[in-house]
Amino acid sequence: MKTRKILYADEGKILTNGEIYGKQIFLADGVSEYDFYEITEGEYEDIIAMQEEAANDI
Amino acid sequence: MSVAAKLAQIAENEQKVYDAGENKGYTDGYEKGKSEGGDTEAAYEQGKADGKQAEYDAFWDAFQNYGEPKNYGYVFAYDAFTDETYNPKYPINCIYSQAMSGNYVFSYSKITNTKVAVICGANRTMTGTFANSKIETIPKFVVLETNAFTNTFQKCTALKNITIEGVVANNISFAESSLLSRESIESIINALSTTTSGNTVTISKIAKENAFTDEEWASLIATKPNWTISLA
Repeated sequence: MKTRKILYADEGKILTNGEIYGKQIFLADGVSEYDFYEITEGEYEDIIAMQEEAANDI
Repeated sequence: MSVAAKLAQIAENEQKVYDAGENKGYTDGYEKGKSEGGDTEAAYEQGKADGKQAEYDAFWDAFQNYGEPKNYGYVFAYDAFTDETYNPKYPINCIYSQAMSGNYVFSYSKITNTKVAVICGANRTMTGTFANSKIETIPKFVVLETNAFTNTFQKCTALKNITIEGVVANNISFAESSLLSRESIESIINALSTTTSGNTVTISKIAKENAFTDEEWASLIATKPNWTISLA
């Protein structure tokens, strides 16, 4: 039987490893939970807004 | 004139109208059918239908390069087309040899259904292909292991139905697609490569919770232990 590690973000927080973002992260085999940290939802929204602005500049 | 002769004349007139609409094949085909239809409403309607079909074929054959791969970058973006005017004859077949061929194809579009398959060109990064659109249904999204997906479905908040054909071997995100159906999420997960490592698929947490129990979800993603799955 294999199990999968799941990371849960605290209320008002988003998990990230700098590239991907989520409120729950189901880790693949071999991926460490220590690669992930929490940011606030506000910080996440700022990041997304910057990404959209960069995309619209293309 | 005998009855038989009259019937023969009527049939001949109908054929003339049909031929006129078909042979002309453009906008004036409507008027041609109308003018030569005489008293036969059906002949007029046939000429009109044939002219309309020929006009449709002429436009979409040229616009879509008779279905051969082409550069579809930005082609249907913004207000270029609506659900009424967007009626492709062929799949959206993005050529492999031009870097922008699949970029922003439907970006900011109000089209709600791609109606035909969208085919990724080999080795292409599909950047913003459907980003910020109102698309609800993508009947078929044909992908290759060599395709990458950068903001492909960014802000696709209306997306409900997608069927993926092929293998997804790079990060892909449906973070804002909270209306995705169960079948669509299953299609996405089932399309994930079984051999790559270090990749992530992002699914809307709301979509997942609306579609699956925790047990069903665990069972589905257990098939792809090599993928990190993020619920956004």
